[in-house]
Amino acid sequence: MKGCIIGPRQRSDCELWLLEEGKKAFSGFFYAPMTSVVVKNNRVYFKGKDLSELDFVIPRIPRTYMWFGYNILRLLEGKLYMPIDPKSVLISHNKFWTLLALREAGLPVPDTYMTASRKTVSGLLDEMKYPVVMKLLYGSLGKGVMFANTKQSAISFMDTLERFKEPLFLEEYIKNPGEDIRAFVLGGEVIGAMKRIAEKDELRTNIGIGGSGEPLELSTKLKDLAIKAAAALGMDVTGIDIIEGPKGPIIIEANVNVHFEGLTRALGTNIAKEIVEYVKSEVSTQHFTRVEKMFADILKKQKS
Amino acid sequence: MKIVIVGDPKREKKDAPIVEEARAKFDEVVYAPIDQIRFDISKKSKPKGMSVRFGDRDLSEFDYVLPVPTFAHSELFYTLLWMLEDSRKPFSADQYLLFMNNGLLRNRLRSKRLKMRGYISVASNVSLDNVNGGLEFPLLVRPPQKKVKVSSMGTLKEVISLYKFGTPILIDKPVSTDMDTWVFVVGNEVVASYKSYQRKEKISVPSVTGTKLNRIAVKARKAVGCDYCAIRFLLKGDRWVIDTVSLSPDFANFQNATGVNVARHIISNAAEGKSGAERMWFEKIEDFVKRNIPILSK
Repeated sequence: MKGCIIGPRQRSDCELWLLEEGKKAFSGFFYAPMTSVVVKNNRVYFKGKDLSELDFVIPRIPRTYMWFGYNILRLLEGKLYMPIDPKSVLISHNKFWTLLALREAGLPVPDTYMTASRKTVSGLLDEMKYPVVMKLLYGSLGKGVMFANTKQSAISFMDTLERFKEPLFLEEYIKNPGEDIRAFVLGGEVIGAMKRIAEKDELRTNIGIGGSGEPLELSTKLKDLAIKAAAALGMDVTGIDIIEGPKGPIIIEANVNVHFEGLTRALGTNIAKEIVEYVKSEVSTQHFTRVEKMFADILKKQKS
Repeated sequence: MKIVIVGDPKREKKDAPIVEEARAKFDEVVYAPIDQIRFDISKKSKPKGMSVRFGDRDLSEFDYVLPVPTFAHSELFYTLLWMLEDSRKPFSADQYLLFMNNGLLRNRLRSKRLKMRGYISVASNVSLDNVNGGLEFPLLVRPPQKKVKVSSMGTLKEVISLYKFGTPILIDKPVSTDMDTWVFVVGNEVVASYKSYQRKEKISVPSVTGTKLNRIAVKARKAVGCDYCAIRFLLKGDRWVIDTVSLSPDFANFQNATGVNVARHIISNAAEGKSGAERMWFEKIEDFVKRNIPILSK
């Protein structure tokens, strides 16, 4: 079996681990940085090699490359296996689109509002209950997330966010004790979860900005929620972030390039190996013609 | 009947013909700048828990939603089309996605055996060193907005490096011609066309397009699935090559060159109850199977 990871030029630990495990498991496995991928007349090439001749790709497409990555995956779709739907790259990198897809699937998400007009935001701020969460549409690792306790502080944040020339994104604050849950979904199953706890005086729980993680055994209800979220977003490999709010669990985010360093440490499990093994089993059984894939997808959803 | 026209405030004047025509056909016409639209995902928004609002108006209440999209706000327009999935409109979110990415649009047209020039697409100047067969200059560089002609690898790399990292850039060979033909298609009809000569002064004259070009134009419109579009053709030898397909042409240009009010055709199309999202036959079959497979699998 031959395949590759398509990812950022600067590889994180996760990409390196995947590469290491992939080289052990597959006869041909390499890393294709997005900066070196070329599309030529409907074909995708990396250093002269036509990627459609591979058996699979593992996309780890960063936000800055999402449109190019989407194009690549659309061209490869139906020709080889990939553990995400091409559209997942777009939907999961855009926080509003993520919540929209989840709400469409009937899953619980925070009330969220988006607009590009300062005037419209000002009107919205009058309606909101405080604190509110203000976000950049495309932030990651906790960056670009602000909590406004009053309308005045919200206006100050709005003034700051305006310089990024992105639409403004307001979300209801779900009361929680500075914790959330990261569930790692692989192939329709939760293979591990951890509770992420924010640093003192911090509301964001991301490990990358000082949060800590401890393993957590999820209830069936939470597992089902995470699995449904992954399915709604078209991803076989993803991290789903959930907050246990006063009225029940709420999904706040999904991660198409899920970082699993924290989870690996917390669980003591080789997540990269599990991903590679999953891909291997899928490649062995998947059919790649569009009609066959369609039926396979339908039957998979029915079973789940 | 009520219509809402959603446009980019920067081209409000260019969209004025559409608004004017709509006033003649619809009982209520609202022009909503896309940047003032509010997108809500809220439990208070019944029945689906989401709504699209302009001021105190819910856009799903309108009989027809007519977006006139621009690249600058393409993601907002996509969100609008997605959230108003059930509304009557000239194209769907998935169809609009083709226009958000030049490469995908070309792929779609090629898949319908429409003549398109060969191209390469990159997102960084580093990948240019890996292009199979090398590059022959001069080339046209087509980032999401405005094309640039380059004559050397050095210049090409410099131009690409000016764009935001990761921006998909399409590159193709220019066609040597001093004339292009713009065609406006609504449904299965070419309603207006003009030739534009790039001489000392740009001259546009009405064109009577032959049957062949009309056929190609309608085929291209069907390939992308929208109700209407403007297409720019170049003549390469004796073959018509599609250069651009646009959902937001300059309506005044068409009218000035041809005397045809294309905005009127768009609005008539809307008022007559024609809705976009003309789907490919395969997608219709796929939907049918997905709806019926639980029965078949029992």
